[in-house]
Formats: sequence, structure tokens, C-alpha cells
Amino acid sequence: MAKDYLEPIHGISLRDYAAMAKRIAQGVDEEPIFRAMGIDRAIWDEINTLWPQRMAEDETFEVTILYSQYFADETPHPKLDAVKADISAEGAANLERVKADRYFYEELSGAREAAFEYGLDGSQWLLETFGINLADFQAAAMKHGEENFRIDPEQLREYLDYQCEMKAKYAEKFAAERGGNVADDVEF
Amino acid sequence: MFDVKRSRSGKAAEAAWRQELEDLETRWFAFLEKMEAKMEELCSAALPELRALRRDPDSEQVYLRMLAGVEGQLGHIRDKVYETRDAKVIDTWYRFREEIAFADAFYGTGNAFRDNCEDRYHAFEETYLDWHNLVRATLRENLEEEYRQILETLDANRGVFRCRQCGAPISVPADCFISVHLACPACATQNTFDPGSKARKLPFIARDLAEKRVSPLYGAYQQGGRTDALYRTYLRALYDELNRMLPALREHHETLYHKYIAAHTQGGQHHG
Repeated sequence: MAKDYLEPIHGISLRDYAAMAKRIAQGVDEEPIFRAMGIDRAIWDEINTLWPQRMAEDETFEVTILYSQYFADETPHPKLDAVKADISAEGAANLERVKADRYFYEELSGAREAAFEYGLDGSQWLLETFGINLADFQAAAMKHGEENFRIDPEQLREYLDYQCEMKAKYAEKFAAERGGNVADDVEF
Repeated sequence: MFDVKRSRSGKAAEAAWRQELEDLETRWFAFLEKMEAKMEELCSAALPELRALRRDPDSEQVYLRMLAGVEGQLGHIRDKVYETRDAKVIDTWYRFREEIAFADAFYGTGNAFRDNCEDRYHAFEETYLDWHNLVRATLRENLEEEYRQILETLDANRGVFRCRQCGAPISVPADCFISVHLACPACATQNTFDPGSKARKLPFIARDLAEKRVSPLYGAYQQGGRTDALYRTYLRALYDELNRMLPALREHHETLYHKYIAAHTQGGQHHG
């Protein structure tokens, strides 16, 4: 890296920043997060501008890669462990399954994508249907994304095919709920 | 109808093929026409509503969901056309090739069928892209107005910002889009200026608006052989716009400008 892009900003390291951003994306109120980290809104606004700037500027992508790893990391954060998102028992069980069961993860990825294509807020749909918030889902996605570099390409293709299959299945469901697609009545 | 017995030879087989190809081509053209009509129907109804939602600052989420929905439906139409092309046109063309030798004078009939169907398919694709681009363009339609409103709000907030301790006016930078700590020039008390949630969107709006303003240069770059010189002209104009809108981020913009120029020169990325 040309500059020292990993230097903490106002004492907030990249790991801290990822842990904070994750909680905000989980829907946790900002104030308790700021308090736990000993900062205020002005400091947050600044670091929330500067860390993404560093990610954009860094030609080695190291900052972005590390950020993704920290975002997906489940090691308790020394200051933020007590600041957690509310998650239902069912949501927690589904989340564990999303992390452990690649096929279930692919199913929900396909479903979320299909939901967006039918004008639904895919993330909200995921939360309402499976109790999983966007940040936790993204963290699971990053973990599985890392795995992609290590697995057999054939296996990866199978996962992606399964995701497409699930997307089509959910698309059919969403279409049926909305009375079909606009061109369903056009036959060859 | 299409289950022609291939064991027949000579003129009979040719006539059967000719009939099948003609029928298929007619149906393919009619099918695409109907699919284009569906796209027109969908987008003609959706575009005014999308534009209205885009203008309403309280409807951002509704707008984004509707946009995704319309794009999704356009995508379904495109997928259906692609799958039909594969199952009907391409499949038939391959069966024809298997049965009719390349050297056969009749082979040209199959070629003409394929060319006509593919030309019509490409025309459909262009129509799809035109609608898709029109729908996408609603994202950028209201940017000038949105940008003007943010600056207006920001100016109003800056103008009334005073020290919470002694009431002295405190000067706030013009493009201050995030909360900042500012010391009072009279009593040195630390104050926090909050520009409001709307102003926090300024960097994103500025980026999209700058892209929109220099889009003719980007078009010239794309159509002019994607040369380094045209890319440099486009990118310089883009970052000049951004520097004008967000002078506080000038250093960051310049770093990005040089990064992307270097990447382009090395034949890498083409994004600003």
C-alpha cells in the first residue's frame, strides 16, 4: 500500500469500524454503539467517510479485503460485545443454518434476488420470513465467498446452479402472489 | 406440425423444410412483436409513476422497489425471449444442419432463416436495452434538483449556526456534508454542527450528478475506440465536476483520478 491505509482514525481501527458498521446494518441504535466506542456522531461521520475513502484509494485492495474479513468475523469485540441486535430464536436458528448449510444459504440468496425482481425489499423479506437481518446475511455471504476460492470449480458450479434453481422457484411463488408476470400470456 | 420425417429425401424433404422454416420465422417475428408490445405497455405505464416517485423525497424506498420490480419484469421478458430462441430457432437450425449438407444448394435457405431470425432477435435486444436505459435513467432524472435542494438546506443551516455557549456566529465550510466539531471563535467552546440526514447524501448525489453531466464525454470515449486520450478527457471532466461540488474531497478525488488513469493505461479498469 502506498500510504499507511491501516492506521486507526481517531483511535478507531479497521476492525473496530467493521464491527460498528455491522451493528448499524443489523439495526442496532447508533448511540449505544458510539458510547461503547467512546466517540460521538461527528467522529463517526468522519471515520465513516475516511475508511471508505481509503478502501477506494487502496490499489492493493488490502483494506477492502480486511474489512470484509472483519465484518464476517464472529470473534467478540472487546467493547461492542454487549451491544447486540435483537434476534428471535427462530432467526438465530436460521442464521446458524445459513452459516453451516451452503445449500440453505444459496436458497436464501436466490430467494432474496427473486424478491427484489418482484419489487419487494429483499432484505426486509428475509428478515420477516426467516428472522435474519441484512448484516448477518452479508457476513455469512462473505464467509461463503471466501470458501469459493478453495473449493472445486465443479462444486462451486453446483452451488450456483442450485441458487438459480431456487431463484426460479421463489420467482414463481412471488409471480403467483402478484397474478403472474406481464408476458405470461404471450405464447410462441 | 414440425415433426417432419427426415427419411424422405430430395424435393419432398426440401419442401417440408421450407415450410417449417417459413412457419417458424413468421411465428418468431410475431412472438417478438408481442413481447416488444408488452415491454412498451409495461414501461409506458411505469415511467411516469417512477418519475413522480423519484421527485418525491419521501418515496425513495417505494421508488427503488418499483424500479427493481419494473427491471425484474423487463428481465423476465428478455429471459423468455432468450429461452424461446434457444428452444425454437437455434434448435431448428441445428437440426437443419444435421440433415442438410453444407455443399447442398438448399443449405442457403437454412442460413437465410437463421440470419433473419437472429437479426430480428438483435433488434428485440436493442429495443429491450432502450427501455431498460429509459427506466434506469429515472435514477438520475432529479439529481440537479436534489443537489440544489441539499445546498439550499445546507446554506440555511450554516447561516444560523451559533455557539451554544455564547451565541456568537460560527462559520461552517460550504460543502460540510458530515457532522463536525467547530470551536467558537469568540469563547473557544467546542460545538457540533450537524448538517442533517439529507446533506449526508451529498457525496453520492454529487457522484451521480457528475456522471450525468459528463455522460457525453463518456459516450465519446466508448464510441471512439476507448483510447487513453478520450478516457483522460472524460475522467478529468468528471473529477473537475466533483472537485467543484465537493472541494473538501479534492485530495481524495485526485488520488482516485491518478489511480484510474494508471489502471486504464495498463489496460485494466475502465471505471471512474
